[in-house]
Amino acid sequence: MTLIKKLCMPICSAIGNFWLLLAGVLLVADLWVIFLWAPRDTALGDIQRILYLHVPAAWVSFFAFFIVFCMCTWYFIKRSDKADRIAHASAEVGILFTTIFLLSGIIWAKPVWGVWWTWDPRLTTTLIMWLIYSAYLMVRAYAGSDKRAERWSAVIGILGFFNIPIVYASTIWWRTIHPQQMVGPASDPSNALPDPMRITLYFSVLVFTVLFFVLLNIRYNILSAERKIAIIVDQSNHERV
Amino acid sequence: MTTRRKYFIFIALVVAVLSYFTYDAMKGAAVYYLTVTEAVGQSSDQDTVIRVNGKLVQASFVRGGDRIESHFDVTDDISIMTAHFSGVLPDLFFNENSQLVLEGSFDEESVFQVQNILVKCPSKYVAEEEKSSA
Repeated sequence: MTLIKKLCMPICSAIGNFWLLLAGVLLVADLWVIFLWAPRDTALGDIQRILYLHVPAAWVSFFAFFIVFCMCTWYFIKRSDKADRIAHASAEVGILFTTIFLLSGIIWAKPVWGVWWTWDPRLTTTLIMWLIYSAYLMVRAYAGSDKRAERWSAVIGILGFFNIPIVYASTIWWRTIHPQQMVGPASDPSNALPDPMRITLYFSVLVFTVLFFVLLNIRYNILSAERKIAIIVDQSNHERV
Repeated sequence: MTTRRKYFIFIALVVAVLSYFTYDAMKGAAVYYLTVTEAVGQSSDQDTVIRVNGKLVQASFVRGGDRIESHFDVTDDISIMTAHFSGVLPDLFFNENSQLVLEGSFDEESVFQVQNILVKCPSKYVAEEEKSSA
């Protein structure tokens, strides 16, 4: 009983619960802001509200994979178990948000462009990103639990990152059906969002970022607990022998 | 240390090569669409399916006899190209801020036979309230 308590402690600690609750409240607030507070777009109508889920999901994906990249590099320098677990957790949450990123884009594309999917540079490079980090998780899952799995996946975590700047810049470098950037350094000032829309977008990015850290923390703690269990099981097996 | 350094050099090399190949391949082979001027320049090629990006010339739009046939011109402000499409038009087809991406090929009379219409929506969003108060 105490063992279970000990293992669960980091997962449902008081601080963890606070952030989980905060993320929940923020998400409800985000839904209110997106669907009730933000104005309708003149040309696209309510479909345009997908933007407030799509862009934050994209941002969190990039951010998550940046953390994977940093942690995998750190793993190669220090051989740190902790860095490996953070990279693993971040890749999982990153894949989740990339899936939201892709699906929300698909739902946008059908009514606005007229097709569910087209092989446009932004869409293609995003799918490649999704596949790269799926490969990362597959290597983790199938290569066993020894150090080799950690090293192989760390190589993918570092190599895979080359694609992320390409995904980001794909709408600038190549001809694309995808809308141009509306916020950030690469955006054209003439495309600037009206204030209420921009505030909604920034708020949604903030909420998604908080949600990302909450999920990352939960996954990290579960992975750490799994590792502790593995060590305990290993030790008790040795003792029996 | 030397093994680790080798790892880093290897990874850096692979990243550089992959990035270059991706950039190069996307730049040349995978141009998502042609402009109207570029398309008109190769209108003698009737076998290749291409995508063409242009704005609808609003006045040129004519519905065919059985209502799903449509004839219209698209332009990139330099050249004009006549297109024919048979099917349901997308919602934002007539929006004056929309750009069209037409998938199809030229026929013998240099009319662009459209198989599929995609609408490239404007990157600028305008709030409804703002517009009504303006």
